Amino acid sequence: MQYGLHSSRESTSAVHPLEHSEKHWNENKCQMDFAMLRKMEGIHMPLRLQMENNISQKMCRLPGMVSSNVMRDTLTGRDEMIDFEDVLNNPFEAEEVGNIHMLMEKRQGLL
Amino acid sequence: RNKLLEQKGIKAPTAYKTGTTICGVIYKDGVILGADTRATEDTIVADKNCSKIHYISSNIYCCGAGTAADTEMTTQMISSQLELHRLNTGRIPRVCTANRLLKQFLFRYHGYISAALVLGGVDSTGPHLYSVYPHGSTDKLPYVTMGSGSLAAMSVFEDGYKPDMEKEDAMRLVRNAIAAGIFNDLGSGSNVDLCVITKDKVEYLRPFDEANLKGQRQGSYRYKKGTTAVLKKEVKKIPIEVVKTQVRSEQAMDTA
Repeated sequence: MQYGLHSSRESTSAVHPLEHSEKHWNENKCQMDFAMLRKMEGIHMPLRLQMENNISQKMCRLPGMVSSNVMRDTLTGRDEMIDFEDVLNNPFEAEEVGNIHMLMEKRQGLL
Repeated sequence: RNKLLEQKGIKAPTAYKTGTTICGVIYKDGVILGADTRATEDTIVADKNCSKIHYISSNIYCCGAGTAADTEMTTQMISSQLELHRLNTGRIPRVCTANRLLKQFLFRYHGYISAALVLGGVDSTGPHLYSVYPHGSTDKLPYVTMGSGSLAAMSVFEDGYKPDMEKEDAMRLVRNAIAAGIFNDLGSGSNVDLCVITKDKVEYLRPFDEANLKGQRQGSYRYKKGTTAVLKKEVKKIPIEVVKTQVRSEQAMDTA
């Protein structure tokens, strides 16, 4: 109710033909790379890389703050690349912050 | 909402395109890139003197045709990525690296970023010239043209190109090719810009040739003082009272 009546069309149909492709770009790229690594090096390679990725995801700040993802960027090589995500819609410069009390309760499992 | 407006007959504003003539040629010591300077919005000239030769790195420059914003942002993004890469490797960037970055970038967006580019530069392996199409395909050739005036410019190149030309001949050839595009294509016009890239230095000649100068006015058309007779003069004083004084400092507030 806070943001108006909910229209289900805007969450299902794509506004732009490339919207779906761009939203899942990183995931798809990772899938392709892992499939290739599995064929080349064996199942252990993608498993190790995904394990490191999971560890890096667990390191985060208090709710409401965006993690700087230093470990993940270093592992994936993202720290040596500039893309539109660094320039446009940078989560560090977001104008709205979530309701921190709710987020904290959710994280602690009280909600 | 936009669909509703379109149904009512209101046309959306179109992107600011550069109907263009851009070209490049490899000569004895390096690469010469040429471009016209007109930017159009459908049938109106939006900018009579815009610069279409963009900086990618100190030894690589890129001419852009297509939507002006797309070419500008694409070249800036690739320039940043190439600079990061250069800092990482510690070497002067190669033209093929810039080509590959552009190719992968444009293919990701499947032609929706309408940027047709002529990429040229000199690196440790010699002079190189590429043409990059909006969908991501590239060609490596000794002379290339792009844009709406590309056919006019290519005809001049096909007639006059010789391998290993001298600098003056190559500059004249590029100038003639762009001039062909300017005078025969409606989307190109104004001046010719040239960029000569050699191993040691870059000459960015803007404008190289002003092919379309605005006509000079022959005389002054202002009326002399006293042409209209003054019938009556009345001087009234308007009283002004100060309502508000505002102190403005030179620096904006720092709200970081």
